[in-house]
Amino acid sequence: MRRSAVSDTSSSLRGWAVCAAVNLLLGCVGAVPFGLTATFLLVHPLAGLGLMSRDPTDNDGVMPWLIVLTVLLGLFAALWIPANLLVRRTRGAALKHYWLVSTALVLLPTVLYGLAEL
Amino acid sequence: MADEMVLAAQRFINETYAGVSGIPQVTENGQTGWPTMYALTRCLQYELGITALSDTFGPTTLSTLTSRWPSINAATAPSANVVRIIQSGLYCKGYDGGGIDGVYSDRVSASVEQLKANAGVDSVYAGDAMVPKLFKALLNMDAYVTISGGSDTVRSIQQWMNSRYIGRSDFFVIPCDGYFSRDVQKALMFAIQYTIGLADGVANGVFGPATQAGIKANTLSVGSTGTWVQLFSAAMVFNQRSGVSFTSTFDDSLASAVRVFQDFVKISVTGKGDFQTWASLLVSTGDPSRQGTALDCVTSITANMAAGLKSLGYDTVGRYLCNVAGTDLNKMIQPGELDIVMGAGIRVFPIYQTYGGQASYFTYNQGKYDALSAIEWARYHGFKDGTRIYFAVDYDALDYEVTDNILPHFHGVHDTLTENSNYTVGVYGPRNICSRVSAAGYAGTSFVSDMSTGFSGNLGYPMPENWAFDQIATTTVGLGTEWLELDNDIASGRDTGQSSRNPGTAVDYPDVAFDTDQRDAMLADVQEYLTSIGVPESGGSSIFDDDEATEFANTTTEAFDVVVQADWLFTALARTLGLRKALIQAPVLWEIRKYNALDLAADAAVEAGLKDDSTTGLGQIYAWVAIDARNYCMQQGIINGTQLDPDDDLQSVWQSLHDDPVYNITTAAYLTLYNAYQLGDARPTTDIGEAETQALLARYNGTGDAAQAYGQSLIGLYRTLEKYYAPQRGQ
Repeated sequence: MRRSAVSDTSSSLRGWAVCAAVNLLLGCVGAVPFGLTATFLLVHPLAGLGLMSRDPTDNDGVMPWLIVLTVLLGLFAALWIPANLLVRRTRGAALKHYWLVSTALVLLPTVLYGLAEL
Repeated sequence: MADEMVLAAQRFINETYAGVSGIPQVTENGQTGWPTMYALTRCLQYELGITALSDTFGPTTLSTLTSRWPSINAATAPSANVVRIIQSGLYCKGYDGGGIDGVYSDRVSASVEQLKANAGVDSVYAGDAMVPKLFKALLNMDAYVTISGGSDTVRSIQQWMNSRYIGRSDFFVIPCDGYFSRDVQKALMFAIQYTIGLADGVANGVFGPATQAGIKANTLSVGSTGTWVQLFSAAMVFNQRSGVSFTSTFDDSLASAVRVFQDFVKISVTGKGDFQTWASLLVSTGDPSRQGTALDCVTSITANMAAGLKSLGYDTVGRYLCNVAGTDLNKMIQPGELDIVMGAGIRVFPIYQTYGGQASYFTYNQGKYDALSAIEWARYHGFKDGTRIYFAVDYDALDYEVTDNILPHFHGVHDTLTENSNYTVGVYGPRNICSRVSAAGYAGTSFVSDMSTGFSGNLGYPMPENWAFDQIATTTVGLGTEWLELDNDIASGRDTGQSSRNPGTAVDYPDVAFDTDQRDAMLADVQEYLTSIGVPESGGSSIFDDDEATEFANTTTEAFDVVVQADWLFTALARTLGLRKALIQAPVLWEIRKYNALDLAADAAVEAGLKDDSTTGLGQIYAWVAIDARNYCMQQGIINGTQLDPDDDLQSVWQSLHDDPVYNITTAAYLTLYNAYQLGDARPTTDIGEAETQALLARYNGTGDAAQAYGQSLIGLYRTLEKYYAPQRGQ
């Protein structure tokens, strides 16, 4: 029993480590669509409320943003979801809150970029 | 499309003569062409024992063939390979060669007889034997059947000339394809010389003194019959005179057609086949000693000269609008000259010619530039609306060059001149160019460079239907104490030139072409300025920066270079519209640098039908804005055209803005004028102030705070560009 408990703990740690590595790595890639999404939120809804300003050359409306973000986020999701399904299945089937943690991890690089910009 | 037997002929050449010095391998593609014909000629020369092999079936080949094998048939065939050469030639010409087996079979005999009949020499060369002059005809690309668009009447004349003159030593089988060409023209000249009685070796196909004397001694009129009438009616047919048939009797019908022709080319209307009529039919100059009523020259005309020219009967003169940059020749209209010339009662037509001596010069964009430049110069000299400007093609462009270069060039000239001025387009050049440019609708009248009689574009082509001036000879005339070298031109009356002018107008310190030596320094300044306002060389400062979206699009350097490459257009538009080119360039450069995936997505949405309009192209202009701007410029008389409909024309205008950088930049220039109107300002000029400039730059983006920020960014870019442009234009 002791040996099995140690083994489970070790396996769980390895699972989280792989989850962190994969999601932080994908988070660096995801900084582009996430950053653009953040920019879109800042320059359209908030600018529309007069709270932010918009680049004057951005004058084709919301549709181009929606097209670009749909494509980029779709491509990213097509990468991120299968990668995490694989990690979870092989490494951490028993990990609780896996999707919550992986979502937080993948957003972390974008948040850190943003904080560094402040 | 590949022909199996032509392919077999090519294999025969490559296999049989592999390794023979002077006989290159031909491409085995099954397509008849000069390379295969040249190779067959060399093969024959090799079989004849000629050591210096050549592509040309010349006198040596012919004389050697005549002496060795004057008649080749089944009984006399010298070798199987010679027969194979004949069989290969037959296949290349579209006849049945009976295989390439080296046997002069019944099938070969039948094809040779058919070839003789098609060429019109079957009565002269009876039987099935291949004879030297027919062999020469076999190994070229001439056709002996009417080809698409050819005339059966012309073909019957070609066959007649072959049958009648093939026995003369310098006359060779001419094509019988129904087309009048320079070879056919030359053959007609030989035929005339033989009919005059010139001996072999004396007849040379040139319209020289002996030929002219012979023609003068044989004036034809109603009632004349015989060979002279046949030759005359042939010349009329070749010159595409309607209603004329090939005949040996000079009847009233022919006389009537002659009168129409004489009136058309502006010679005495006699209804006879006299010397001047013959000359006009046979050579592009016609009778070069004719006194014209028009002239063109590169020399400034003084009051003395003008009076002298008037007394000589000249009433119209063609003068050059401008000089050619980088040359010493001062051929352009000089200050005060037009008043002197017009004051003497001589009308003036303007000519625009800078470079133009080779095909590579002529492009659609060059045509646009030339038109804008011509407008500027014509206004400078004070030419009135309605003046026809002749754009020159001063070289012997081949027909494919007319298609590939000259027509697109004149398309650009026509579109631009008609949009940006009330001047009209004329074309100067050889007959073929004038006719084709006019037929395409790009020129209203022609100024024909007919004194270049040897030009392929004149030989074998009739006078353009819309000819206005016929340049027939260069001469020097004494005018009091002065001498003037001039080109003597016949005038048809289709263009009478201008008898008066407006005061000349010119832009103060107009922008000049970009000095490419300053490219690096100017780019560095642009980069420094843009970086200072948060627009780095590429992308943005972070993923949250708006400019980060440009990371995979254009760098500052790339945007700058696009603008520099289009500098010719910016400069010409600025000069024509009286603007500073930096005022047009600044927003375009900015928009190119700021181009990003969102713009791509917006365009894609329009193309997919999800949106009606988007900002597009180099200048990122909405189609509806372009329509408003162009309509405004039309209403103000700044440009010509049909008012655009905001709904019906939206898609086509958007497509033009998207696909055509020239259209886009031109629209950006018109938009600048429209924006001044929207701001309530007067039309901008070259001495525009700083505040008005910034307001115009801001208006390019619209109204409101964002637009004001846009103007703030662009005024710095404008200043950066002007830092270089002002000294270049001498300010």
